[in-house]
Amino acid sequence: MAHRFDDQEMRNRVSLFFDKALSKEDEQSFLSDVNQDPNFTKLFNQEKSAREFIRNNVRRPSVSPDLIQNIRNTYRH
Amino acid sequence: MSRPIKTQSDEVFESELLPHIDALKTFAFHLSYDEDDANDLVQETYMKAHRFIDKYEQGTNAKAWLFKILKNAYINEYRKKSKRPTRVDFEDIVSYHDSDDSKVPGYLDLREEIFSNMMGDEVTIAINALPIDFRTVVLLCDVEGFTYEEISKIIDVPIGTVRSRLFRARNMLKEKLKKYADKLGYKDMRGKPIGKKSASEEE
Repeated sequence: MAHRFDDQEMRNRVSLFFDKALSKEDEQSFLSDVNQDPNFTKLFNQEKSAREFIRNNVRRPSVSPDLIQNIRNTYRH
Repeated sequence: MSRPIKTQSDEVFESELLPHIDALKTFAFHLSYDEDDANDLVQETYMKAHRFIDKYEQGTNAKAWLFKILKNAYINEYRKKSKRPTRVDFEDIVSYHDSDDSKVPGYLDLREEIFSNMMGDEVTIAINALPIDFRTVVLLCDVEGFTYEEISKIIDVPIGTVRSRLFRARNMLKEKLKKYADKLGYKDMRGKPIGKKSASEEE
């Protein structure tokens, strides 16, 4: 009989997966569990969206060519 | 006209260190809240990397090495002159371990459709409002994709502390983003079983 995960357990596993903290074997087993349980799939997609949103929308100020040149000059002297 | 001779240090700089300048600038900016201070921090990071280049093993984790230098430079030089209060170490107040994670209601149902209605600035504001220790782990893990182990080395704390800080930081972040979700009529699902619809959703 397949193991049923409670909500907290699912959340922990989803976090570990997206944090790249699962072994290859655990990752495969995790993805298989996600595909078999609609609630797990839903949680997985929510977390994926949240992570992507944060990563894609955080402000990333540009680096000026002057800064790069100043740093290069440090290395050349 | 003769060209300057390229040294091994120059090659390491160009191929392994310089490619991380954008990520370093982002990290520096979110630590210092100031574009000029961020530029100074990045420049100082590369100066220190240059000074200690013999300590760097070619082909290893240059990004983590540079981030550690930047984090130390920030602590040593910039934190003391920061105008904003930066350090609230909740671990001094609350003894918090991984085993306690399950006691915190940590689920905010933030679905994809809500994100499309948000402006990116809201994420930046929410991240920058986090206390420094929590902001740091979110930036390192969720923005830059470092592993727990790498973060542990960069900020000099045990992996368990990295995990507990991340857990709390994400909850704080989602809490801050929640107000935007509320404005859009989004439901707070914390404490409710996954997949269970609210009464209004079922209507």
